[in-house]
Amino acid sequence: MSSYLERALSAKADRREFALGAAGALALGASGAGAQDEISEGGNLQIAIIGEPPAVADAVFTTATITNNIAQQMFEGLFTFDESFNPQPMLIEDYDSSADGLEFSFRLRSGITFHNGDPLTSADVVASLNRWGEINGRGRLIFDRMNSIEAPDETTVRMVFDQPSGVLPSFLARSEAMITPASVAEAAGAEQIPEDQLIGTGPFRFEEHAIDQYLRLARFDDYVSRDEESNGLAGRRTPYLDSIDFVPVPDESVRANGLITGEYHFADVLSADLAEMLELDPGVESINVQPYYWYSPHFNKAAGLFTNQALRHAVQLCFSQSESMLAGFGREEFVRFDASICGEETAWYSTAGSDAYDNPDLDQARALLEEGGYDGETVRWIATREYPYNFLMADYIRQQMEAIGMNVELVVSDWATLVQNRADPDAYEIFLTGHSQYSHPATQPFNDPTWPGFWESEAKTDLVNAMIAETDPDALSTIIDDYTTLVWEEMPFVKCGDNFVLRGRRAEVVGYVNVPDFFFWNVGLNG
Amino acid sequence: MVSFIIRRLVSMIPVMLMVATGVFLLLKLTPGDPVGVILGPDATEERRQALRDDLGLNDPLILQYVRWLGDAARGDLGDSLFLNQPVLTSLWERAEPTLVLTLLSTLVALSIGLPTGILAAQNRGKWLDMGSMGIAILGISMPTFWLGLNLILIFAVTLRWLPVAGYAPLSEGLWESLRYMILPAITLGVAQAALLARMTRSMMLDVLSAEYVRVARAKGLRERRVVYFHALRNALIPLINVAGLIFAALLGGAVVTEQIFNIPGIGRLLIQAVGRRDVPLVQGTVLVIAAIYVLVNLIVDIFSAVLDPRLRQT
Repeated sequence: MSSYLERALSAKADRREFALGAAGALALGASGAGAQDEISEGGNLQIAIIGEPPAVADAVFTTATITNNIAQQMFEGLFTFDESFNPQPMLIEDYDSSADGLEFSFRLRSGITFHNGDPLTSADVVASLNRWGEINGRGRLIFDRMNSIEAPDETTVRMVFDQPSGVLPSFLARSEAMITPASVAEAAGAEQIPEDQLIGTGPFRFEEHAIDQYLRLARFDDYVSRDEESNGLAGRRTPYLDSIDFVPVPDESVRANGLITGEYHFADVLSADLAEMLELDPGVESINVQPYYWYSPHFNKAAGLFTNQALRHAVQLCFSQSESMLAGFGREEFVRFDASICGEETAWYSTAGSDAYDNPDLDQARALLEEGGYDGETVRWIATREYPYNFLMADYIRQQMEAIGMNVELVVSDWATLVQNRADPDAYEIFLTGHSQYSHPATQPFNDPTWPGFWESEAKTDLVNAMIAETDPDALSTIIDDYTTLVWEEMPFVKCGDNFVLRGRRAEVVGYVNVPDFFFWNVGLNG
Repeated sequence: MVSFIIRRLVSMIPVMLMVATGVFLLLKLTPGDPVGVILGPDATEERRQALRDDLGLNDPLILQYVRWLGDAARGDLGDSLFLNQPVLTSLWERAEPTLVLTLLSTLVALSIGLPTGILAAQNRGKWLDMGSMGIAILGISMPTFWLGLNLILIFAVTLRWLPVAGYAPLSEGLWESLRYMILPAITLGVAQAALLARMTRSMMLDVLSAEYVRVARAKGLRERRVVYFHALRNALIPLINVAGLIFAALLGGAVVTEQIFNIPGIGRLLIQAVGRRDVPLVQGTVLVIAAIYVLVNLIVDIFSAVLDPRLRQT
């Protein structure tokens, strides 16, 4: 059995997909171009997703990843991300920005129409971004710095800021900064966009939604693609498929089995334990998505024990961060041991903090406990078994904390309870969660001092402001180094490591590019 | 008979009121934040508060209760917070899969359980009795998810005879719909069949030792006529009660089976609503399930009363 397993694994090893690193991009880009010639038009793609998305496809309304991923098949923004997560023009032809990062002027591409046939104008962009600035956290961050946003003519959008905002294109490239007709944005306001008003400019349009059964998107026949070679989400977008069905399948073994039997062409988020099973099936390609998320226990810094920085450091020193990742995720090919809060595939990667990372020292940890005045108080760690890693990592770290004399109580509940409790500073000392490895550090939610964990720090606020303001990439790198150093000094959370997620696709799905936020333009069904 | 039915219908009112109050209080005492699930992990606290206000979740408990009860009395169970549609629409959309699954599973249960129980009773103490009752105990003890997953592994993944999971509405054709329902119906039906077989055996044994059966035999009637005409008819009365309860339980949603087979039915709706703290949806679903239980029980009682005139007088 084991020799069969080995043969099967080695036979498939070269077909296993990994994300595009800078070096691999050229080779895969070339093979992608070759594959494009062979892609046949038509077909219905069945995609098994983890559950019913909140707000269907309104990524301004909700920050749920699944909604964002669906939305980006239908909606576009002024920018989008290339394979290195740099912002690239999407709905705009070009733009000017002042050297001080205070003024931006965007010129829209001509000939673009919405799914309802109306032409895209600058008034639509202004209305959509106004809604984004009103109800979305990251949009609010930008709009708080803004002096004015206006449409001087039909194809120009002008933004003037009170404070330098060089980061703007990175924020506008996120799927939540999506453009809808002005009438839709204005009518929706703080409410979610109704299904019949899900009108964008993207390669696929909303067709039908049977809740808990499928969400069907159909090819937008009048889609106007960019001409540049495709690169990540940027460049040419050709909708080959007639339609895409997103099928909510909450049970991951059903997603995996359905992929093997061909009922689904693509399955999102599968347990790493299923990797071997997928590898054995010649009709299935397993996809190791890098970068994806990183994980960390967050300390409650608003009340209780961990308002004391020495105690936060004691916890970091008492356990091996790499061991905690293995405890949570099991298989080494799906974890990476790294101190940076951005993946090495991004331009925001930093090696600052590497010395402190994964360097446990129990004696020093005990000394810090004493210095911090720890006197056997109970540490309430709120965890959930709904996501196995959440409990497994917490349980591993709990044991290490107890080994240095801390008293830890794991308070286990379901996710909905945890989300409520973590917002209450009196309810806990530690909770654990994940964050995107491929997001600009200024866009991380924990920068907001009202976000659970409550990281209030003048130095952090200054550095985040500097990151948002900076227009020069080299200067930005220095700021990110300083920010990462600060994370390891102030220790608002302990970065444990990176996790990659497993997805799977049928072999007949061609043209698929392995990016964290999946997309299905340039993708076809052959055979 | 009419006054019997009216009496039973009126007695539904306090039952439903108690269920409604119980569910409301239970949900309100359970921690959990629907807004966090709706707005996603990165939403700001300010935005969460705004949505809580919009949804009326910050109103005093008694106000929320009175408002909900008033609406429910008028037949409006409110809107689902997560699915953004009326609760009654959510339930109506899931009625078909659950009803089809219930009917098929009950059919499986009856077609296996009844003959097995009768055969076992006829062959009391013999290997057929012991063997079938041993299998029945196995059937009752077997966890539904274990049986379901194994059926999927054998008939869907390995043999590829049937689909792994999902649902095709009846509008897409009877066979297309049945293909998806065969494995879940067997999964659910087997456990109920086992229960029914044991109940049937026990009822039949009671009846077969009754004096009128002895008289029937003494008259020289054929054994088949004694068993199926004289004994089974009387054993059926308690069995109809059991079958009714099984039917009501299945109609209330087979949570695990619907989850494993990805059937968009009432059971899956309820379990997801609890996880998302979709309070109006949980309240509405539980209320409807309670109503189904009470109504099915009423129908069973009417049937029993028709079959057994003694019951009408009590």
